Amino acid sequence: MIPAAASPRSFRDPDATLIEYEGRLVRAVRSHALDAFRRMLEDPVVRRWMDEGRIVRTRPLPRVETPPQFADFEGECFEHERIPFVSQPAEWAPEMLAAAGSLTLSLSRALLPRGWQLKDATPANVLFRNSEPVFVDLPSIIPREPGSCLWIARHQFETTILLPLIASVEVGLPVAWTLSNPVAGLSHESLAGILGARRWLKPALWRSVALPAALAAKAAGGGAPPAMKAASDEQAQFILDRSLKGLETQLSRCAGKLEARSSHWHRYTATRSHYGSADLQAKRTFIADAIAGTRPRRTLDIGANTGEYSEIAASQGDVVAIDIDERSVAAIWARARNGQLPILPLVGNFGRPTPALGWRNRELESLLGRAAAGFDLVLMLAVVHHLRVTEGIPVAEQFDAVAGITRRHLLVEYVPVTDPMFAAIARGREPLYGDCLRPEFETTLLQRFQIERKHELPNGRVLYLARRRLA
Amino acid sequence: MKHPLEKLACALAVSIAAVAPAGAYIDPGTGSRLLQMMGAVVAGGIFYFREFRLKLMSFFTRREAPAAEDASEPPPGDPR
Repeated sequence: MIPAAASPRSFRDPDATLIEYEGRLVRAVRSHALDAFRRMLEDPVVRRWMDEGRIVRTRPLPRVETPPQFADFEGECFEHERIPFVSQPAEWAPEMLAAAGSLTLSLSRALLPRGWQLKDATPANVLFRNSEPVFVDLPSIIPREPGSCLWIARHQFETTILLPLIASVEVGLPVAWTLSNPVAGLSHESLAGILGARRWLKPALWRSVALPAALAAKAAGGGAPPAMKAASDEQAQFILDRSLKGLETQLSRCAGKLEARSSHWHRYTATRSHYGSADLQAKRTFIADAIAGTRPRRTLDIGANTGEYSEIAASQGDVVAIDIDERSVAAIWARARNGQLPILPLVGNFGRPTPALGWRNRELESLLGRAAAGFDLVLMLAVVHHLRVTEGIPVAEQFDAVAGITRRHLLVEYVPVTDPMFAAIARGREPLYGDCLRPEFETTLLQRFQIERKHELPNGRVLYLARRRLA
Repeated sequence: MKHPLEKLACALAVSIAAVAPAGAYIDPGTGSRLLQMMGAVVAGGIFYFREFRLKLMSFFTRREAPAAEDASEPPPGDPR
């Protein structure tokens, strides 16, 4: 029986459900799956991966700590560690999706000789602890039937991880488009249609796209393919390992191609001409002082670009860095991973924040829902005018939304309507944006925040450190 | 193209390459699963070949190895 309080995020799994109880994450495993789940938690490979932080740390929950809604539950509850910020796969840069796929394949290969397999392989089974992927869906690990030589989750791995990466590499389709449904992803047939004849011209695409799509069309209505068993389990393991290695090769080929790409926004920091060195130095000094003074344990950087200010904030605590451009997010992710910085970069447009997704719009929470009152500091550096002009979001609406996210401070940069960057996006429509004039901007800011410090840069831009007014 | 196998291969290639919209229900994953099965058949064959090669090598190694075997340390617990 599924308890009434089963989380809408994990109701699909017949073996277990996940709920949040008094700030803790509790996994309730049903009686029919309990024995295998316990054995899996004791497996040396799973223990090692947990110790290394690659699988979410999990412990049995004593009966006295069991949530009341599970008092009569015929199963057992376990507690997971909390990952600081829950991201959706649609918010990842392609490189992050490749890292999640690589983790999934590595885990599958490590579990193979131990007699386990993954029953599903969606990127929703992975979260990022800052820049590192962590496998979080432990009930996905189930015993493998001896002799079975086909990976039951392979199709899902292809449609939700491999094909979105190929679509990104070959035609530049954003991950946000292909993974708006992270359980279904992008089908072979859809990608074959998008690629057209190209799928037959590149041998690398035959196995992954062209042949599966062609065979599916030919096999339509022909009934389910027969089951397959190897003569021995040793042979089955050999076959499965080769299959997984083949997927690893395809994945690393995509990852290699992603390295070579670049974009306008990614080059922005290096090529910006609207900042003189004095402006830039003054801006960096003010921001560094403000961050050191406010000591935020959690910072949200909206419009992070290549993350230079996220890195300053990372000296004080965890940072979630959001930017509209996949390449910028990929660059931040690579630097954070190499430097082991506590930064989680995500692709997103604050003007159109990620909506709630999935069944009844409850499986994946919206960006604003996940961020609500979750940060000590929000950075909005040279981003308000973009949201005002490009997205049409009034300044008052922006500050209202941010006041629901920050628990304490906002560090915002004002860009005057006479600024060349403002003019470049307004294109003669400056009179439409009266709330971007400095007196109106400050008045609007003061409705929600108290200004603690401000500093005008030589180029006319103004930096404000403001504290949220108590409601 | 006189050989019947060549004709068959050509017909198969054309048949696969020309993806006609199927009127019937397409089960998602059918093509992927069929390919996985084909891969499993090939890998299963490689497994047997590898086993055969290992047996063959161990047969010859055993024939050439007696002198070396005598010189080696017995494994722990060996009753020799």
